[in-house]
Amino acid sequence: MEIANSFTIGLLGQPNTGKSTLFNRLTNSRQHVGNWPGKTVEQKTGEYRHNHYLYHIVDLPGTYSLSANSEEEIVTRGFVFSGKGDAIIALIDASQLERSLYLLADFAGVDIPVVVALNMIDIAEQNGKKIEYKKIEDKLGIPVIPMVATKGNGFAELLDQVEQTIGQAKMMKIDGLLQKYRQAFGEKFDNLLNVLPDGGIGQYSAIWVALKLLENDKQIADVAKDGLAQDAWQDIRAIVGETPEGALSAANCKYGWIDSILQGAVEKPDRKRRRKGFDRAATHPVWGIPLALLSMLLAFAASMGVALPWMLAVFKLIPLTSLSLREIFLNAGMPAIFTSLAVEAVIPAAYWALFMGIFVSGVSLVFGFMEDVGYMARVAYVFDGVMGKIGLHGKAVMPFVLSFGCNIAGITGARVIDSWKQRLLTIGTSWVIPCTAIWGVVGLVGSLFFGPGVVWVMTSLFIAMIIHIMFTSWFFRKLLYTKEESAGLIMELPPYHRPNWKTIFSYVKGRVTGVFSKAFKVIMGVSIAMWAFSYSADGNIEHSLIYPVGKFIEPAGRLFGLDWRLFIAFIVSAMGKEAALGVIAMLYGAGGGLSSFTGTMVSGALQYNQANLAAALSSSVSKPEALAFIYAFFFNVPCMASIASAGIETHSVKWPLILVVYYVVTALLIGGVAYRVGTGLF
Amino acid sequence: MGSLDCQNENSYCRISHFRGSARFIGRITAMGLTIGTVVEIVQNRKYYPLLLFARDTMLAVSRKEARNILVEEA
Repeated sequence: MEIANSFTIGLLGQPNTGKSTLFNRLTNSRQHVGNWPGKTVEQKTGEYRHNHYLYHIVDLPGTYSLSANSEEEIVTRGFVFSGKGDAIIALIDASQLERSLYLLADFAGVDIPVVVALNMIDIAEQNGKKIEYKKIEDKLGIPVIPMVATKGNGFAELLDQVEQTIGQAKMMKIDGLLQKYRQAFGEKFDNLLNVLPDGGIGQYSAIWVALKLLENDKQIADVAKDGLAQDAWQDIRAIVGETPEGALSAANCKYGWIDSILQGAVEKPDRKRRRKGFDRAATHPVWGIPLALLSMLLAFAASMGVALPWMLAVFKLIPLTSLSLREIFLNAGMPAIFTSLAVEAVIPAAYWALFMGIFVSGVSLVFGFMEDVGYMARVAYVFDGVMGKIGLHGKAVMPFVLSFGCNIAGITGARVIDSWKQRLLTIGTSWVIPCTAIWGVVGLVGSLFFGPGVVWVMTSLFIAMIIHIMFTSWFFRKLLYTKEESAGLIMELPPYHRPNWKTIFSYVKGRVTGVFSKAFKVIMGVSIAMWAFSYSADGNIEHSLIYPVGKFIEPAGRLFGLDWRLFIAFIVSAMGKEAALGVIAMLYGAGGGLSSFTGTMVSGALQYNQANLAAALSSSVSKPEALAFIYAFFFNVPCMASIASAGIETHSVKWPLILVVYYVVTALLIGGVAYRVGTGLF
Repeated sequence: MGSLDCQNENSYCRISHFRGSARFIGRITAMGLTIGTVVEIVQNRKYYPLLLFARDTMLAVSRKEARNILVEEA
């Protein structure tokens, strides 16, 4: 198709208005995901074509207003005023019209053409609402398109109207709103307009600046202070100083204007809100938590149900491919070093990336379903008290619980949290949770050194884990939040929706796209680096590069109660907790058949005898050293797939690196404390 | 009449005043709660956020924030 021109459209809307559904439906696979420049907020852009035009669509973060109270709001308002957008599509939830229109009221004074997409009209009708769209359209002066984004209803008209609106530069009528402001603020509003330049300040219009100044918006006050002469700013300060409760009055003006827009255009039954059946149970003070825990168990089982057959196939294929290829390569005369690189590092790493992609698909499908039907907000509600005590959002409970199965699930699951800072906080804290792979090593090493006392070791690990979670949450809150930003829960519980599988699969597709390639890069990089350090032609670790490194850093390791072998086993366990036992066996000369640590990823490739390993450890490691290792290992970086997942979820290199450094340092410190305590006890 | 967290379940009240920072007021008003808004208390149990219904929307508000919302009889 020949493209005559291209336009940029911003997709504006409050959370839960179906914005992502519309974005996914419009753009399909033509999407790019990254972060907004200089921000931790996710940026999604995509493209669609309509009537010979190419539209670049920007999915703006879901926000309830255009204030500057959160990074999401700052990003949204930054785009709106950036001049990059040719038009805005404002998503409004028809089932919650009054509150949903607030964002549009906050848009008053923005000089960009806007089209209102009135979504979820099917739910509004089910609730008994009768909406006369044309009346709303007449009052707003801009197109209002009824639609059901999940079904694709109303898309054609919306796209036509976007095209026409850009051509005609249709702006929203705001006379009624300004009248409300004049009634509420008297002469102050016009006095402000008189002081402000007609053309506004920078990219902001005079009307918008005046409205925000009356709301005591600090960011806009700074803009005015920097952009105006000293006397003009003093006049503004004097006017604004007379309206200390301007934000409250302004909110009443906006809702008053919304009431006037909806008057005569909406009829709704006057009935009391009742929670029914499942919703009553989901928010019940007694049954809500067990129901949520049951849902999480089912969610994990369902994730595994989707992913497990494929994951098992991958696990079967790793040794099958690696061991067969080793024979083939060696028989074909390939040098041992390249054979080792291929079968002990490259092939297992490729399978691990595949494994991760499959697992993320399963988790995304289940989480996508729970979010789409509206249940996640109920889980957040019942767990707010518990999670709030450690400074986390109620929704963080789900990623936390799933992390006990696998940390990748926790990191991927953090996506259900709307706020980016809370999402980062959850990802950062969820690494403390021990996954299933840890217990085999802790159980074996613990029972070898402490016999029945391993129960106390495990109990102490749980207590340490809770303290660690509280400290880590506090640490990252200090890093991410200002004091002013810390606030209690104010959350919408969206109405339940029937699951829309197209939307859910589109969500899964969006999640998994890119995961394979990014995971492949990280896991392959870590794997090859580890192989290079630990490779030796005869499989003797003392002939590898890591041996002199280990010996060199041994004095540092000793501070934490770890000799060079345990210290290296600790470092390698960040690659994957499953590999730790094999690595320990190699380090203590109790395992053979491999030429590098990464070969331990190939199950069955390492030949070792558990009795020999036990004997080797007992004769070389003291009880305090064993305790130090268990603690350091337990709280170490979960695995390289978790590092890759954190990178994918945060769209950054910085955050996974911060997490790796934080967890390595804290694990060593905790190991050191355990060693000192162990020295006193044993 | 007191703060929002002291209201009985299944009762109605009208918001009369907010205490707190501009940020809190910005957040709460954007969610539909302003002075004069009539609120239905859907659930109010110790240790749990309040469940409210206002402007066609079900909201969960933590007890800490609810203490800063003063109400009167609707």
